[in-house]
Amino acid sequence: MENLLKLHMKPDVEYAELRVARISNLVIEMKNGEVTKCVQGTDSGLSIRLLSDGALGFSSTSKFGKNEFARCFENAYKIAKNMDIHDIKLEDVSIESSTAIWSGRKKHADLSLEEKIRYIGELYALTKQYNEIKSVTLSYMESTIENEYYNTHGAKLLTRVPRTAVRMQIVAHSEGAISNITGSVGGTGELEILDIYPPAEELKNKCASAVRLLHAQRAPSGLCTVVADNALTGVFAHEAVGHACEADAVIAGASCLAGKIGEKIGNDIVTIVDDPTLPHQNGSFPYDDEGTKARRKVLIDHGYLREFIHSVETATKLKMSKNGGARAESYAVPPLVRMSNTYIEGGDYTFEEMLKEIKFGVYAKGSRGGQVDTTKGTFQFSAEEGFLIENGVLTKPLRDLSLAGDILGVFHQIDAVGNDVKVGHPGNCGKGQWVPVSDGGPHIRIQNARVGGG
Amino acid sequence: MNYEKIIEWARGKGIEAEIFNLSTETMNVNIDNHRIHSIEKIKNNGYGVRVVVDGRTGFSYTTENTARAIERCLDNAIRSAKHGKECKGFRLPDGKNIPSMKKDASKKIKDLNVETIKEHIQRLLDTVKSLNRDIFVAEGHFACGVEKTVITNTSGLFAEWEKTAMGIFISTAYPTPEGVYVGFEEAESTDFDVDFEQIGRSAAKLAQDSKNPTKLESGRMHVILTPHAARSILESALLTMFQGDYAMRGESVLTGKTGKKVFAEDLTIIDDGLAENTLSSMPFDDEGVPSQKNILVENGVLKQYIFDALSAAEHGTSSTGNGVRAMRLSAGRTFKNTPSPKMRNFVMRGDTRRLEEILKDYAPCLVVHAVLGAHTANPVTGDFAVNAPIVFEYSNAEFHPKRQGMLSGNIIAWLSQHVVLGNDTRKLYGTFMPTNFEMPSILIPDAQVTGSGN
Repeated sequence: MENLLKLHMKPDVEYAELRVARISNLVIEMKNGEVTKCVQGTDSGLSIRLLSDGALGFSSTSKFGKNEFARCFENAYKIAKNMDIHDIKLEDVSIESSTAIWSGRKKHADLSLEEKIRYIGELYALTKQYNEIKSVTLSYMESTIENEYYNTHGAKLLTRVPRTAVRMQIVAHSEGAISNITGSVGGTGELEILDIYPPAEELKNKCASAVRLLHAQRAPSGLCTVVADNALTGVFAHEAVGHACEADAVIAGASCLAGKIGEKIGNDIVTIVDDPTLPHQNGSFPYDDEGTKARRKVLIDHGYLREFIHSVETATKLKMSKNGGARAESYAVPPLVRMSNTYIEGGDYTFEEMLKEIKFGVYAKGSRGGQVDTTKGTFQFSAEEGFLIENGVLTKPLRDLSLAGDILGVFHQIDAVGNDVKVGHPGNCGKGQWVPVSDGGPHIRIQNARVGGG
Repeated sequence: MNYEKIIEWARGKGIEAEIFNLSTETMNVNIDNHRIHSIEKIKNNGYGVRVVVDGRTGFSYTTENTARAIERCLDNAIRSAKHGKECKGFRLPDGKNIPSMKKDASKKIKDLNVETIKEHIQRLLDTVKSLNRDIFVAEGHFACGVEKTVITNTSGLFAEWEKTAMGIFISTAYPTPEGVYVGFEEAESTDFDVDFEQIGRSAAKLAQDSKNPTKLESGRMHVILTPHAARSILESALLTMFQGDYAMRGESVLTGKTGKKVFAEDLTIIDDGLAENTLSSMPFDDEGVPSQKNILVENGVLKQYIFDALSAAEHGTSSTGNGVRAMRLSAGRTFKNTPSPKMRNFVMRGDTRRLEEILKDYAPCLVVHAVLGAHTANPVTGDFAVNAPIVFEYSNAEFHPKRQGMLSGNIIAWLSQHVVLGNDTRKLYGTFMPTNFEMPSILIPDAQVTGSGN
């Protein structure tokens, strides 16, 4: 393949890279004990990105063959030649030559399709003990992405990243009330992922939440003290700081954190990290989609903004070091600056100590995701359930509450960070393309948080 | 691809089989910091193969364009069908009675070249600057392309359709010493007929008008959702409730309410699969069932849910022409999934008045232009709490910008009030599902708003 790339090079092409990928998937969906979907598939193709006269060109195809390659290269070349901007530089591009073949202790192939279906059936049986639970959807998902990466600076990488996950949706009914909760466990790895993050444990917790939500009241609306659990802390780190630290947004003039590296934007107790090297996490990878080795990035260090997440292009432009943050959903699309596993580091507080000091507040648990406007610097994220905190004690269960706030400000409102860090919560982050991520952290306490309930 | 040979092979084995082919050629243009940053050409082609063996369905997909790959898919699908839920009444659609529909593939879009697109986008960028030199397009995306669908099966169906589409979204930023104000605009069409200057003008004006906001008070008030904000909330909080597979399993607050009054008595909701010139217009759905117009709610009374062929057969009813292939939380169609019930073209009818009249009659009221986090709504219960970053109060015949707030409620409770629809209907496409929306502004007479607290 790298020979094909060399063969098509033109004198006025400064740099070119080729990604070839084969993605295989298996999804088994079981609704109320019956298999409603069993999908096996493969998706393969290649893409070429090149730099000519300071302009980028990109083209991709799901077809293979010499002619298709030539057409793809020509498309990318023509695009670059048609661009009006000529100031893009790519410095310090990958020259790595390596293989990173991730494989699990227990292979996907170690269980037959029948055995996987039986496994999901056994999980479903656990939900039968709850009379109120009327509908359960369980999805087992495995995927393997095999990538080849070549560039004209000699980089040659072969990587294989398998992922395994179980997603669950539970609906409960009682006396006219209805509740709905979702959950997922998973990460990079094969069947051992089901031992590391046992789906049965998550399922039992979610079933208990679904039943509790039947009797929950809507959360109060207004400003109050909020304690966020590990999952919600994770989505907070992802939405409130991670996206604004993506250097493409910084360069576009679309991040409220532009020009603030080195500034104090939060309390001393706040440290936020994005780390694709964590083992078995959903957002982990060995090399990004520009062939840069993955590495840990401290975005906020004891309240100080330290680092943005970079591609080669953004690092060159901002005269900073590249840090392996360029990820693409698949071979079909170019890499963008993305997060991986984003979390808040632990502090000193126990959960009980955090609650003890609160006269009236809200304990928000579980995440239904969120969204951010990095330009304006505002974010929103939603909890799956909550509890009122009255005089230091959890009292009434709450449902459907969201939190919103300003990126520049909210980190000064965090006045307690727990000592119980948990990273996990596999999900997909959307930015025109979906990439697998995870997040987490300890319990945190936020003063004067804006809560939206009923 | 020689479909006939493969279909004959399946017939010979006594298996019902279906091949769904989706091929797309797309050009994406990315704008950042008020200039075209990059352009991509993407070509994708794939096959989804579904079989029915003894009433059980199996599915597999591939991007490989060979008869051997399709046969491998057939084998995989047959293997997975063994474990599928049995549905005796399910037959692959026979393709009879497919209505004739105006061919809407646009020659202009097919012939579009990079130069023409660049010219139009430059005109948009110039229009933004002509309104206010300090305002710029922070981020934007333009996409155009051709999508060809072919469906054939052993029931005698052979259907094909070619579509063209274009879409543009821009977000504007207006940095001032007091803060950054933002605006946005979007447009989608089956033809290259969008007014690019108008897009620029509208997004720039929104950012400019947002300057110097004042505190937003909390409380219950009249709220007007612009078509964009209404689309976002309805897409995530309401649409899933009509999906027959969910509703029949009890995963919808509308479960068991057919024939009952669920909304205000003058509200009618239609899924119009026969509407022409929308991004989702096709004479058949993604399994070859004729498109049709479905009245879902008539004068506040729930009339029916929507079904694909399989979920309809499971529940002893007929497909409503809503078998759509999409991935979870994705607005694009795919060959990688089986059909499931999804709205094609969402239409609302009710007490429609001129927007100026609504503003006058309901002043003081809040006009919400955009919401963040609508996808965190609970699709089963209809509860939501979203951030509203661009908000104006209309009072004394003028719009007054307000600081961001939160908007929370329950979609069923909202639409049970006497809502008023504006005469400003726009065609907008879904963000998380491949659905077209014919969306007017909506006045919600009594909505909970949580102010910004400063």
